[in-house]
Amino acid sequence: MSMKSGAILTEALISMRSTGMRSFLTMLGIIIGVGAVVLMLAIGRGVELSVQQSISSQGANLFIVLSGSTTSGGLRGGFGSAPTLTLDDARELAELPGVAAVAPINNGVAQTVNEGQNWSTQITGTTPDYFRIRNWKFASGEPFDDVAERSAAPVAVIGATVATNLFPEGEDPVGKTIRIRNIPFMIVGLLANQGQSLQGQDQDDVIIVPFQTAQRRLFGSAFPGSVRTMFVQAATADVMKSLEQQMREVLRDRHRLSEEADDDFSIRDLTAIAESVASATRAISLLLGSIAAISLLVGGIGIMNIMLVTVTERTREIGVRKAVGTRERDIMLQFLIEAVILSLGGGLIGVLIGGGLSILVGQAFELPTEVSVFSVTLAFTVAAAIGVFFGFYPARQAARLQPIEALRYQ
Amino acid sequence: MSDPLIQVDRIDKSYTALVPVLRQVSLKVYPGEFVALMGPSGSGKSTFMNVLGCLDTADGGAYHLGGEDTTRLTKDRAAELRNRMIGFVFQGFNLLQRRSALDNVALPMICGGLPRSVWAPRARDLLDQVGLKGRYGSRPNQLSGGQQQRVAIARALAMEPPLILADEPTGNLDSTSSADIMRIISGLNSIGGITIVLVTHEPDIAAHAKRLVKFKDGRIVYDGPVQQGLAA
Ligand SMILES: Nc1ncnc2c1ncn2[C@@H]1O[C@H](COP(=O)(O)OP(=O)(O)OP(=O)(O)O)[C@@H](O)[C@H]1O
Ligand SMILES: [Mg+2]
Repeated sequence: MSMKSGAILTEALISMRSTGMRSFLTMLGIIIGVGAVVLMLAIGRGVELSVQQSISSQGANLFIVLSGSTTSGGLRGGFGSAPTLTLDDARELAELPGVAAVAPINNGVAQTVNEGQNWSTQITGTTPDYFRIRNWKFASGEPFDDVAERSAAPVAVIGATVATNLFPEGEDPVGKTIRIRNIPFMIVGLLANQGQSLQGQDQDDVIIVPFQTAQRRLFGSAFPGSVRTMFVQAATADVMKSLEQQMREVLRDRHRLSEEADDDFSIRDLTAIAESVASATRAISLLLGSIAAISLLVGGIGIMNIMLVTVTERTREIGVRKAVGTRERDIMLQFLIEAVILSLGGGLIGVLIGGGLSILVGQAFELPTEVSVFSVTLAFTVAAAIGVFFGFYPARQAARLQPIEALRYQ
Repeated sequence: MSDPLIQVDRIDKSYTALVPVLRQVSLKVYPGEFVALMGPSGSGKSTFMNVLGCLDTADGGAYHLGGEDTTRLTKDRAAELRNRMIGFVFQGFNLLQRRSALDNVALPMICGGLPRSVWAPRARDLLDQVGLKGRYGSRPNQLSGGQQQRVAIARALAMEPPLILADEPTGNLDSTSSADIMRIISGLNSIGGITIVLVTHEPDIAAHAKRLVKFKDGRIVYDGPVQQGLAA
């Protein structure tokens, strides 16, 4: 003979409607909490994704070897200022066991022109291995090959930013010719979007030409065969540590450095840097998530507070309901349902707002924010749990009121 | 004679240890009776009514409602008895403030698990019977005191209880409204055969009843015909 559940729900909805504004304000706590959780998780995920993207666009198990300072006349240049590395160094490093590939690089800035459009950009001269090492994908065309490298062919691979600045939208630049430092180059490949590097550089604002081409046709060199930078890829992650030591020994040996002399090059483990960035990112996500969780908790306490006020306010009503025969369980359910509706309603609006904001934030900061099914499910479950948890105590207070006490209450 | 609807045997009740509010009260009320309870303020009438209504329990003694011992009722069973056996009419109306007259009348039926298809027409019927045809949607604050008390009476009748307990139902009403309410209540007893126990301070209200019970200091000091009791 107890109340029908539909009737309990109706009673809960009616009494919430009668306190409209207050119900909404109570929900606001949950809306903000859930919205914040969804937004923070999406941003955290976005940052992680973009870091992952940077890491994968950087290539796996990677060292970068920078040519170092030579001391000339007491003045020491910075790393890379005077090339101390050579192509022979590169060849020797490639022979080391555990090395998968080596790509020597020389680069410089040059003006490029295509039919009246011009753009100043970074020209990278390197060997075909470079594309494989860095795991770069092509939107169109393909990398130049070893023949082009050996013959110093005037061919180029361009990044998306360069393409946008030199070519009309929608036009495929592959097969076209542009002029770099007034020398015609044929475009053989267009790189897919890489996004930013971990250092925050636009990796799409780049033109890549064969190493020999850059050396002989574009930049020339006071020291033929010298190299500014080398990318060295290890075969596996395990050998990274020992390989770094071996490379150092080989290079010191080749450069005939005495025991006490400093390295005239520097080796950086890009994977280690990436890992530290990734773990910093995770820490930030965690921090954002916990702040959001706290605001959700505060929202829950808000619900409990308002439900307790409601119980006090409605003491007389509860008395009337009990006098006409409502069972404790039904009164308890009604109050519990009110709390859960408040929190679930808040959860729903919060998910919508949080999701909307994460899309906006994603667009504004070019972050691949992602509202995952997981975070939405989590937010809803937590919101419902908060409703039950913080609604339980007030609901029990309501149910346990003595009917005569409640009726006497003014 | 049939079995008593209300059978109270020497119940005691006190709120504080020192002052007993009900002392050894015994009373039998048979189906179809109309009993008026009178007595000075503080003599324990409302306390007694609360026990009769299963809203409160006595400290000692026994109370049987419709043959069922109420001393060791579970809360759920007490709620069920209130829902099925008793209709309450209070001095202060005790309507749900933000709800329509119809919703208020429907409340016991909703609590009793009746579907809308049953309670909605019945609630309208009951409001018609107490002279509130067309006021189904009115809220208590849009109704006069007399009208509110009529809504309360309609609510008391919703589950067709055999017993109506009315604690000073006209206490907050002017004499015209009081007369209307008493006409309705008397009709419930004389035409509907419903047993009524009614508390009042007014002799002319009590005069509607057939039997008078007088309280003093928590004891019954008179139990008999109304006219005689009022004269005493
Ligand atoms: N909840 C309570 N706690 C303590 N004492 C109470 C409580 N309710 C009633 N009393 C006391 O019990 C006594 C009887 O009260 P009760 O309300 O039954 O009187 P009454 O006959 O209905 O009076 P009135 O005619 O004024 O309504 C009074 O002395 C009152 O102060
Ligand atoms: Mg009283």
